Amino acid sequence: MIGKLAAFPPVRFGSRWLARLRDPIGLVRRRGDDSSRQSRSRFSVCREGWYYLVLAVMVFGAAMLREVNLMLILGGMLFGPLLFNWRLTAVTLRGLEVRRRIPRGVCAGDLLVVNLELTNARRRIGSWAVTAQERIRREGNSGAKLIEPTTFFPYVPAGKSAVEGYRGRLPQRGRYRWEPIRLSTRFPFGLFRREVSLGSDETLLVFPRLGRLTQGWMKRRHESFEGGHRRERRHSRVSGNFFGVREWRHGDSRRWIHWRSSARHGDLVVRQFEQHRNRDVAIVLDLWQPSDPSMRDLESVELAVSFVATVVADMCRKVGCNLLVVVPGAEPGFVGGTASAVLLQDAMARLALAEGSSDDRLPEFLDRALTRIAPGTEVVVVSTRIVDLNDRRRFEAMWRDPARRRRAGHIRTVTTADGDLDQYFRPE
Amino acid sequence: MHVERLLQISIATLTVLGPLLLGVGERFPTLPLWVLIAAVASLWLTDTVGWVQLNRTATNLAAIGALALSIGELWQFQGGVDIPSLARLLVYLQLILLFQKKEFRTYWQLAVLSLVQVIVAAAFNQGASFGLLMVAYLFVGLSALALFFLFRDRSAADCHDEPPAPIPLEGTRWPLTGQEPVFVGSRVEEPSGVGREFWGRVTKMTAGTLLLTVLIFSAVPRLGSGARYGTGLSLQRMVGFSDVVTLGALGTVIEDPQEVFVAEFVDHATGDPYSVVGGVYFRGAVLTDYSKDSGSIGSWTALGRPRFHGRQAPLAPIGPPSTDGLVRQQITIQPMDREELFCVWPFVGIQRDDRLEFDSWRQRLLRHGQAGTRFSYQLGTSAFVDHMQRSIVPAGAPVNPRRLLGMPSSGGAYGVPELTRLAAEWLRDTDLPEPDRLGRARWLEHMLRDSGDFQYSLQGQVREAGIDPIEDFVKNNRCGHCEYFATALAMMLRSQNIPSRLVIGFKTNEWNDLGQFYQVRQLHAHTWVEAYLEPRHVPPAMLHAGRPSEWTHGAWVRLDPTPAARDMSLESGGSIWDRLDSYFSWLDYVWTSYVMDMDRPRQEEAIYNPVIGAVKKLMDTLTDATFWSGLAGSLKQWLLALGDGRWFNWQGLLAACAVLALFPAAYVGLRWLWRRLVPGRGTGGSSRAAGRLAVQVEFYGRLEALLARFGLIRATPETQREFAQHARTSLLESTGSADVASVPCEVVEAFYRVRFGGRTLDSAQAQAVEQALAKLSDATTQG
Repeated sequence: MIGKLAAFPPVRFGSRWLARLRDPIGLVRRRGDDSSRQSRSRFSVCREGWYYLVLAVMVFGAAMLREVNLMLILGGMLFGPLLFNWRLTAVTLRGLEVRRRIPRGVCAGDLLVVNLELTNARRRIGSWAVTAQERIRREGNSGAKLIEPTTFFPYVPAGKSAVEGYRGRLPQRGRYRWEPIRLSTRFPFGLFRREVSLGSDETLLVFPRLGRLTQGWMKRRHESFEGGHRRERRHSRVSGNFFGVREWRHGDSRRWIHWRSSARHGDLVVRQFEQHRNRDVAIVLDLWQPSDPSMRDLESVELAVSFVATVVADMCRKVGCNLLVVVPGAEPGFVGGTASAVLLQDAMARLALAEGSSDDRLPEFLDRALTRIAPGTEVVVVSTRIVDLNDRRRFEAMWRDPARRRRAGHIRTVTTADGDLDQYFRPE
Repeated sequence: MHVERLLQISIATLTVLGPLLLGVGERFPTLPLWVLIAAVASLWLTDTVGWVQLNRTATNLAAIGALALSIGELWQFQGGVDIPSLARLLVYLQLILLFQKKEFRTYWQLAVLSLVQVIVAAAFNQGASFGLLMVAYLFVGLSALALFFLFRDRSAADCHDEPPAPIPLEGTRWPLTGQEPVFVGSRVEEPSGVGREFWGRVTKMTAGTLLLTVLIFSAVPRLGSGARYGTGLSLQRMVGFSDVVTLGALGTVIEDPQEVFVAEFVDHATGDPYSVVGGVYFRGAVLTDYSKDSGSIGSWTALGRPRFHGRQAPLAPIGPPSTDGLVRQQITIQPMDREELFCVWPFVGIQRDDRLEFDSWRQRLLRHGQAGTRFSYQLGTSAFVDHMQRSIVPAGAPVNPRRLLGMPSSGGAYGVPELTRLAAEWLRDTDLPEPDRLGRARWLEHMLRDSGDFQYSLQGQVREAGIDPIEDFVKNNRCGHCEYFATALAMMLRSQNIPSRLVIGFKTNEWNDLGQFYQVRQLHAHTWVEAYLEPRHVPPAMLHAGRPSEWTHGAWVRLDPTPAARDMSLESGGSIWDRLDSYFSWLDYVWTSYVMDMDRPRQEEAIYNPVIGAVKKLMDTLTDATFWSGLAGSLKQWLLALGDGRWFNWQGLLAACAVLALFPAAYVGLRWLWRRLVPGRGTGGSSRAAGRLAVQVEFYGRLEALLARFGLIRATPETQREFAQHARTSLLESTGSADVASVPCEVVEAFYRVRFGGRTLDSAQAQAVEQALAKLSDATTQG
């Protein structure tokens, strides 16, 4: 984000939806609303300024009433700093540009370092004692406390830049909005303060905090993979991505024959597949919470999100399987594909915005997930409450369809409501 | 040097300057010295090495002690406000705070105490040195204030710690439960100093503040009738002047350089400054009766009946006929313990001034009840001829010569036989006839002053008891000060039947070239003699030179027999110190006249009226057609003169070009001024210029307007083509329509053909552009 004042017109970003498209992943979003374009300065009198004004007026008044010329001179001298402070606050802020540098992503509770580069575009006059104040809000939570980190630039010479920053931790995941930077100065005497807003809005997604998967989870994954592999071999099914074709060899399944290529080559040709080392996984996240959640309910939600994020991060590090993550929200998010860094970022972005709800939408999510996954995909339901998949009334749609009903027996559930999660996951 | 150290030094300097301003004029001479020592010590012991750092308790106890001490001093003082005690209390508190470990609060308190001291000092009557110190105080004060602000804000923002890592609360499952966002600023690097730019800025602010102060001081109307001088205006004791002269008393005459008054001379007819060659005698009082008491003390007293107690008639202005050759003397006298005023005689009133009185019996000019204030008055005098003060002036009133012939009666025929014998002997040696009284008087003056037998001395002399001290001066100890010489001459003249009297006043030749005034100090006090010439004894040459009617009552001849009189003044020499002294005297005069004495009449006279007059004159000139026609004529003549009357010449061409160049220069200057004065008007000029060029192609302007609705605005360094590429990407992402996204590139290509290719669009191309823009407009509406 760049913001300038006066010396050059600021780079103005487009409307909200346009800015969103600049960053399709949604990690860093810029928004150029009307307020970001304006650099109207706000002037205020500091507390010391009021004291000083009162003193100056008293001296001046006494000099006028008593007609003491030396007092009048002293009164005149006291008005000098007022005039110059008023003037220099405006001069100091003129011709400044500020650029904010936010990292692409950060997990909740991790150290966040934001750097601000202040450029003084003027040719002769340096800028002293400029304070850059940020205003950060967590979106979607009207009662969220406003965060106002400040950065102080002692001196920026004419035609040069200075980089300062601030560090902090955001303990809650979600989207945070950085409002335009408020540059202010009280130079040189601290009697008056002038402030301008520069730049535009930016948003940053704070991802769920990652924890540590235990050996219990690894063991379970391994067992699941081995079981699935055996089933695939037993049913002569293959899984994996299409790799190419080759001539038929003895022992190859007839299912692998690519008939069109065989007709073209005049010989039998079979398809080659890249063998998966891991089994495909679908994770359905259920963030149910009561309408009036307790602290424990909220903790369950965060644990569930953090657990899923950790699993996704782990799987995306070990490429070779397909992954589908169903994240609840106003619009349920289905993030799927081959495990990769891109998928991880997408899934983390969804998880960052996931919110608990008192609506029971798990059956719907599960049903929709089952329609999207290939046979043999391991389905893991992570819920904040104990899930009984045999509840036919609750999971009516799943039990009504024979194909889906068959898969129900292979769906595993992990709940954060009790100690079940402890054997798989350690939050950090 | 770091900001904090500079701040400490500035605050220490401020702490010293406050008492110094209080101590100007030696009211509290030791205060600044003590504070200076304490400030230096605290800088080293407290701020640098930290050996002595009072804690809060010790500071409070010491402050209570200082308060008790000051209350004790106030208790002893009776009546009024004891400003010195208050000033000392402020200094005590400063001294205590200097040795406290410095916090933001401590710096504030020290600065505020210093400012309060200056406010107290401003309540006193102060000289020009106060003004000079105020300039220094202003610079240091602004520096300290700015450094304090920088130090405080930098310290507040500086953070060396990392934001704390989240610590899980007990009994929670989620480690971030209950955690709040926390942010800290980064570490602010310690600057090596504030640099030249900072000091330059402080210097400019100091100069600007001084200018502002002058403007405020000059423009703010005075509501009352007179300026107050504050509580410190004490009466000066007139040590050199008295209306009684006493001889024979032991003691040394002290030469006090303190200023008594300044005198300016102005030609009354023209108003121009009138320069005077040589020293000037200002008369204060006239003594006519000399007597000796039973001891050896002789004294001169004034003649006649006691002074009329009550209001004398104020001086009335003279009529126009008497103003020929008149010189106006403008005199400002310091507050004195005497009511006599001094001036060059003979004087006349030039305007009605109810404050002045003339004691005609004792020939004194008095002020009416304003001895305690600085006093300015104007009189006319005809004593100057050819820029020199005349030694013979007409007697303005009838004189009884017999009253001016009195001699000491005790101890002999005249009491001063040796003096009489010596005078007679000196005159016997000359060929001057008895009627040539002027010549005989001057001879006696010459003998006393130039014979070398008499020595001038300020030291007290031991006189022989029993005889008149002036007789002893002539007979035994020919050493004394001006009063002895004057008395001796007066007695000698009287012994030779020439009426005479003693005049006491001031004689100065201390001319201040900068201020164009004479400065008169206490040490310039002088005594001389005036001899009376009856009309028949007035030299004929003088009678014919002036108006004969002037000499109707005779004349007074000024005689100054004191040998050292010519050297005793502080003549302005050529040394640098003399020049400095001259500058400072001028500064003091200006300070007194235009600062301390600035009251309503003076403000009108010195500021309002000249400014109003200048504005009126300017307006009259600018609206006067003859001025412009005269100016045009002068210009034409000047141009013609350059070419000796030819219609063309190179000089004229250059002059015409210069005049024509003034217009764009004036335009640029006014535009620059406008941009400077109106914030925000002067920026983005280059981009606007580029924008104007772009908008010349109308359709491109519409494209920019439409794209602006998408929030796409071209940045200054971007070319139109780069902007179109950028817009294409953005539009593709936002609308998902390749048709819409391609519009900017299509339009910009057309724009480039027109704007930079110099081509025109045919109807098909123009239609294509219009359709593209309509497409974009529709997309805007849908969005």
